[in-house]
Amino acid sequence: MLVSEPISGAGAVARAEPPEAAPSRVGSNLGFRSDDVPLRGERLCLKLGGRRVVDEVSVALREGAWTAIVGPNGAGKSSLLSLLGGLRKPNAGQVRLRGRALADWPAAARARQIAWLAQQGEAEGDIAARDVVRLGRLPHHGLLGAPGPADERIVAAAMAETECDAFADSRLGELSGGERQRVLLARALAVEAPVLLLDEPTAHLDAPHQSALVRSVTRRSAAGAAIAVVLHDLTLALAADRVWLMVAGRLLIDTEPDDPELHAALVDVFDASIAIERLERDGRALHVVRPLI
Amino acid sequence: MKTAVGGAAWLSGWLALAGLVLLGCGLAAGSEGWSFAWGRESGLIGAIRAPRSLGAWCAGALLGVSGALAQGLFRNPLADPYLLGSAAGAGLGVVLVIASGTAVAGSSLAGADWLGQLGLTGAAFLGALGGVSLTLLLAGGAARPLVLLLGGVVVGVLLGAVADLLMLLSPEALRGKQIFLLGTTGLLGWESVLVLGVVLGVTLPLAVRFALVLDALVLGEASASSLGLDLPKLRLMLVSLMALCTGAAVAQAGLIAFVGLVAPHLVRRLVTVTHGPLLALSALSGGALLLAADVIARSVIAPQELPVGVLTAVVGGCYLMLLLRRRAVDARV
Repeated sequence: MLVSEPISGAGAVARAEPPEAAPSRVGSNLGFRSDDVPLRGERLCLKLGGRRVVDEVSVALREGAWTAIVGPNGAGKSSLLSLLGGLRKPNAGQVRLRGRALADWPAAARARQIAWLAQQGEAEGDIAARDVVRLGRLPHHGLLGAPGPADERIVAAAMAETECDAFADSRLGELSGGERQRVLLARALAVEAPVLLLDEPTAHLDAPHQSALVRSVTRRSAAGAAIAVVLHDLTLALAADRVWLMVAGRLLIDTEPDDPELHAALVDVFDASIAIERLERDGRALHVVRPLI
Repeated sequence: MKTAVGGAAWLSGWLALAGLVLLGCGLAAGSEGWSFAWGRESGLIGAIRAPRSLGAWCAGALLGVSGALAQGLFRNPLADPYLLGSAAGAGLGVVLVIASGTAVAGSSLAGADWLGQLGLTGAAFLGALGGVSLTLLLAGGAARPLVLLLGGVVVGVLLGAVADLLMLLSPEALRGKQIFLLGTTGLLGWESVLVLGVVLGVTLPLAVRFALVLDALVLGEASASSLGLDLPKLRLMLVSLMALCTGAAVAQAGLIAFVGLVAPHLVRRLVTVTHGPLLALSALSGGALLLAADVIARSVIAPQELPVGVLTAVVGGCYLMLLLRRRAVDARV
């Protein structure tokens, strides 16, 4: 049984205003108890080359939920993620990990708390896939240590989860884009961190592996992890527990994927080039975003 | 994984064996062709051929380690040990010493006495370290690899210009620098072997110990620092190790081309390993390569001798051309 629900862009006009105009909406999920929120960004600003790529963004990542970060190119999604991961220092505002400023965390302890998956273009080299995944255990055994049997088990489990056993001994540089992406994802999962930040993990993945990624993320969040994922595929994004829509460095809306206001804002932000349809399947709401060609 | 480790063990065995066989050849190759009458020539062997062969192996091993470090640090398979201004610095050091005439009487490098030899190698060593330090200073530390590389180019041009100016003023420095630029293993004595051996013994274990940094860099800067690594500090340390290896090798044997570039390539072609084994295997293959080049240089037109640096440049250059051609073919498919 399919229930189609086309959405016009009309309702999104008010949403397009800066967040100050709608303070009640942005950060409305901050009502969680603080121990539910391992990672919190407070009024984050980042300037790159004189441009404000992240502009007064306040967000909270909750335990046991995964958040999709969406928005057009250059909206500041990856920059926000790198601020949350502590890989860049904000020009203003701060990130708190378990209530404590990120900058005050020792590097190794922070690395055990937050796992980070970069966009793929950055990885390049001749080491074997399995050795790449092993790097995920580095924060646990330390630079001068070596992975033990427990680490090896976690590495094997992560590789099984992303289905990269078949090319475990191949060199990273010899893998296809999708295979490489799965290896890098396994590397991030192998950290077994309570906070997981993934920057476009579905890039280069074929449809079955995109779904597998979403299942992995859902399973890990159900087990208690706090996860943020930058996604370009809006259909996948609307399977999240929470969606952050960013436009021009600002957090336009922070809500649940079911929210009609979000759907209207998405249509508006993407110049009415998409249509969002709501399906009911097995009693679950499912959103399909399709491009209007 | 097991096959990879096994492959690495096999390769290290073969490379060590090659080194030993070549060492035997090195002891036998003299200015009058090959001679295996070791009893009769033991004096000659002990005083000249043994230190020369051992020294060539050590210098090659240092260049191999340095090349593997450079390629890992800059994530570029074409990086070589002379990237960061060490070559220009060493060249300037040599020119300075010869031009000032304090260390070497006359214009012949080969005629240098022990003191002069120490003066020249010392100057080359300090020059190489100075060049790299200047590069680090210009780049404001080792936080940004691209700036570091550009700094190396700038320092190379600047120090090269100063050396050129000095050579205009003092023509005898020109010949000394030329011999140095060509690279030669003919001047290696027991002191050189001692120096090279000690530097190799200190730098290689340290580099292997910190090789996980190079593995993590495969993931890219951001991911490596997300693993809790303090990259600016660690990179500075690895650059220092690289400068120490290069400086020691250059000071004793001159600017020998391509060994540092080719040695890690050769290893990577044969086995898939992480940077720890890669560094150790690059040392073994670099040593074998330079020692082979030295033996050939000595024997091919005996009693004359080819400058070993010319030989490594020709052979290494051809190998690299082959590699690039094959890559171009691969890319087309």
